[in-house]
Amino acid sequence: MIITEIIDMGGKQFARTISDKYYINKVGTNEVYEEANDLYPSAYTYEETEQELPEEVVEERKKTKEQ
Amino acid sequence: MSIAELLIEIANKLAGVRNDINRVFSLIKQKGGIVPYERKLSNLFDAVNSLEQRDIDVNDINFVDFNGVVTTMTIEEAMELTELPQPNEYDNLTFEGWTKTLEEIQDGRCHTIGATYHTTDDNWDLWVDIPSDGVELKDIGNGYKGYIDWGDGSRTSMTANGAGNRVSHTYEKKGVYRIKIVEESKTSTLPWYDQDENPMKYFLEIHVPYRAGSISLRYARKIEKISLPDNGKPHGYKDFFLAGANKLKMLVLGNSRTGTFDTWRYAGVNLASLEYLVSDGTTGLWEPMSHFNLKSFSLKNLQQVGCDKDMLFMNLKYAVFDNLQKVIYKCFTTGGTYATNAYTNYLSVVDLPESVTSIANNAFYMGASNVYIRSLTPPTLAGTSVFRRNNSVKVHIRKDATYTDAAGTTYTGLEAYAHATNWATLYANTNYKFIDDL
Repeated sequence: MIITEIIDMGGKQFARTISDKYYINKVGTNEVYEEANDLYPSAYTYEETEQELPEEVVEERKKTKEQ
Repeated sequence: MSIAELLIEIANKLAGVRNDINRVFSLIKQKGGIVPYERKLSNLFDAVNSLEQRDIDVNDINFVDFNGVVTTMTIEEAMELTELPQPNEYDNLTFEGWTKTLEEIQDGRCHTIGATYHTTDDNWDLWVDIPSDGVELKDIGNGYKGYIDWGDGSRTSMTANGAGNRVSHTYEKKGVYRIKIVEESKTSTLPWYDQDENPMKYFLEIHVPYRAGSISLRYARKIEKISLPDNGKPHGYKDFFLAGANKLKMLVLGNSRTGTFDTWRYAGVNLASLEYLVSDGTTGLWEPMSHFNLKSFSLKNLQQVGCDKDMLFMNLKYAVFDNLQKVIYKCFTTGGTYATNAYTNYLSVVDLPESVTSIANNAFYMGASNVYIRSLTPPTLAGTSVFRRNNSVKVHIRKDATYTDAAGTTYTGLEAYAHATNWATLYANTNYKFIDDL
């Protein structure tokens, strides 16, 4: 599942996009990310790839979601 | 006191002095100094002097030879050079040259530069460490007419041609011996049998003639020093790794040498003591398992690097890839494939060539304080934890780097990195300083 949230960093806003289980691909490119942070607002869209994230990353994201 | 008693007393005192000299040499060796095999008083001064030379941090520009660091300097100091440094002189070794030109060094990038040598007398010159009395050294020679001087006062003639004409020798006493393999025809390219452990497991130091071919050291676990000529012959990388070569600190290969560094076939091998590696020839593949002490390397023409385990560079300070194109498995960075883990405790500089298009998250797990990105567009950063542990990173980028966003707006230089996916978060982070000085 793709999740996008707005975060603040260094006085700027970013659109952070992740998947809970997979690497993501920036649509229209061959760029693959573990997480993608773009200046907000951003016109980029992302989709899940078939490549699974490392187990520790999946666990970390699960914990963060539960919190 | 009688004369006999006096002589005995003198002999005892001399034995005591000899012991003290040996203890001093041992202490120098513990402190990282260079200790010759002949531990005599006349060599003590050079050994003490070598301690000063050893006590130098890895600097930007490192000139090394098979014996150690020759000289080291900052980039600023290198820019002032009008000629390359003087190499070290060694008995029966002819200096061939440095592996980089002054112009290449002064292009502002970090370098490890090696000196190559071959034997002056065109013979084979090697030291062996015989661990106990009565050890037989087998299969030396390669069927060429000549003789072998075993270094213990004895010689064996080699009279017939043919590969079967290898000779053996039994050392009466343990110790370090210098062997000279002298061939009349000066044509052999490897005068020892490389299929068995003996003699290679006794090799300590090797110097070869210019014509030397692929040097097989597959069982040479004691090898500490090896000088190889820059003669266009292939190198026996697989053989180094299979041997373990745990004590080898420096490896300098000339620019014309070819070969691959593939080691994944061999389990449990590493170059644990390797501190400096120079291999700017055509190198197809490099898969070192672990290099705990590697401080700096130059792999100018490395095309592929990969390993099926995490690469451990605990002490690596400089990593420069001039022509890196592809990385397989887990490694630094790549022109298309991801690196995942590179444990680098002290990595100071990473210089990524133009060909690199993507960098994995945690690629530089312990961080690098200076990163040079030479690609025309910001490489794809898989995440924001690329330089995970470092608190202060200088990112050097090209003034003419460009990035086009989703709206079609093109940014140049610093602005390219201020807008690229994930780079933008690093740009906004005060721990990262971006400098457009490339």
